[in-house]
Amino acid sequence: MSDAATAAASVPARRRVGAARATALCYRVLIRQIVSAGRIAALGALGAIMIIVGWVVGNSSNRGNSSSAGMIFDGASYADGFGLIVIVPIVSLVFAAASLGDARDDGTLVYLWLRPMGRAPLVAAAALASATVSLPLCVVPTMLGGWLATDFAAGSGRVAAGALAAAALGTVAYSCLFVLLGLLFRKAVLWGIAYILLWEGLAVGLGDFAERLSLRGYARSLLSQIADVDLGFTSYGVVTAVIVLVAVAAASLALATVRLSRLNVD
Amino acid sequence: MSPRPRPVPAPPAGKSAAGEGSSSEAPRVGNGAKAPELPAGMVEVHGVSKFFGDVVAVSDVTFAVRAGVTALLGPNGAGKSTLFRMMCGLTPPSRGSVRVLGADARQDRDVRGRIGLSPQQDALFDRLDALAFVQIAAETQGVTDPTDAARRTLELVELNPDDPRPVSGYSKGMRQRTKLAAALVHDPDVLILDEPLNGLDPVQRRRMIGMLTDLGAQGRCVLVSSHVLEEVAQLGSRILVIAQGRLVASGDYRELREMMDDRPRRVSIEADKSRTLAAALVESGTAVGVRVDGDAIVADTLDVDRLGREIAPLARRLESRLRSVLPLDEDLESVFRYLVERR
Repeated sequence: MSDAATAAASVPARRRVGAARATALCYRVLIRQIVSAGRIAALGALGAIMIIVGWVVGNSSNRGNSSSAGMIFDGASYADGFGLIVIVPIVSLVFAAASLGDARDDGTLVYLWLRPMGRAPLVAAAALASATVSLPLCVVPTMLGGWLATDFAAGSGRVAAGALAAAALGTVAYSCLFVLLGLLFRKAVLWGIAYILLWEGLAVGLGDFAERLSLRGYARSLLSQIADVDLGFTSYGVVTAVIVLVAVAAASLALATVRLSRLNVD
Repeated sequence: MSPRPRPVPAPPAGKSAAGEGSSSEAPRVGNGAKAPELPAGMVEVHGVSKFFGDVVAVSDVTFAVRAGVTALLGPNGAGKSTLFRMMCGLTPPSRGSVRVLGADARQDRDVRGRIGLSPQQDALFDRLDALAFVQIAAETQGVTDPTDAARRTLELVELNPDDPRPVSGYSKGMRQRTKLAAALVHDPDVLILDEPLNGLDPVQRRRMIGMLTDLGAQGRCVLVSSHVLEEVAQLGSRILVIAQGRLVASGDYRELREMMDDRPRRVSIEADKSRTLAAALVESGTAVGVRVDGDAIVADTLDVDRLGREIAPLARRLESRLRSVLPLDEDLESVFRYLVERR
């Protein structure tokens, strides 16, 4: 090695790493780190179950209300009850909490942290990487499952569109929130599951105020408004729902950037 | 990496230009041996303490390190890695200040680009092959031709850049060298290597030491931690000894080694009439201190060889049956204990 040290070529030329380039580089690393065959198989299977059950529901002869409106309601309820309550938060949690949380826990974060780059690009890359993986795993089953559950009744396209919008925006918002969670807590998946079950699942049933503080309420408002279905809860307008979901995502990323700047890195 | 002049920040007016790591400086034992001055060097650690809850990981440490190789020596858990983490800005000091090239790496992104760190933990991006791993390091450091730089650096540490295996399939030694390549790829001014010789075989170890010595000779500040005294001996003459979170000695390795060789050695003796034998050892000057517990004697001696020669005739003369004579502190821990006790 000693001989090679003196024989090696000259000092490498360097340039400043801009925010866009830093984001792209970190994205490239993080997406490879969070995607594993096990995760994709398990969460893909969950999505497949939703699609299959949606098809079974759509073809069931024992429906309580077989009118078009009833079928639309069933499809939207199914997209909400399985897609928005289970698949979207769980899939987002698994990938987003892992994006920086796993790197922090296993000690690889140092290879991205100790670099002449800002912190915001690293956080943005983590959110982008987790959203890239989560979006197809959330949107496709939620949209297809909801659509199949309508048995292609008149207006089923609206259910599919509403499910798509709600799942997509919900996934982005949850991804950003859970990137922050991954930096706040070790074993963030457990904290995330507790949040999903206890807050998004139970506490929102306590009243309007609690529901205002849950992402699920805004995501299913999108579904409800676009599908034009009354799902029996406080529904916000499309604009309000979009603004709140985007604002939660932006605030989560800002807080995650601050948190990353102050983090003790192993 | 061709030799080139390396920038060494000029010492601010009124400050000492000689860091404790300077080979021209006489060795010092203990933080309090001399009133701490504000140090000047490529790495400056001044009055630094680090607490983790109630645990004191580093306590009031002051030193400066200039260009060349400096070894940070200390037993496991002494605070070496915590000091390195503070130098790199990975964790802030609870008290005091750490400056690398005149800036705080936690706040200053340009300085982060002039540091190369090989961390102690074995973690790598395990799904990448070595070339991709080092290439990412080069790209995130802003190297304009990352592939070429990564290939050259991997060859420098004697790894095959075309090895398609992911680094998860590498041996410990290969992973160490991958980490080192990632730390070196952007040609940093300050190289911080936490236990870099762990897992290397003797040949690799010798070559790695040669390479680090070359890098130091080229004007880089190379900081290497180790808990193995013999490794440090080969790395160069400048050492900082850390024990229990404190800087217990600093200076030239050879002089410190001689000082360590002069320390009292502890010997365990088991014999009948232990009190009589212990008194005779002190009276004859063979031991400078003794502790007796039943038949067991723990004797401190300045001359182990003399004690070995004289104890059997002495025991025979006192009609004491000698059962065992064992040296207690030939290990590195005893050296640290000695240095700590001298403070």
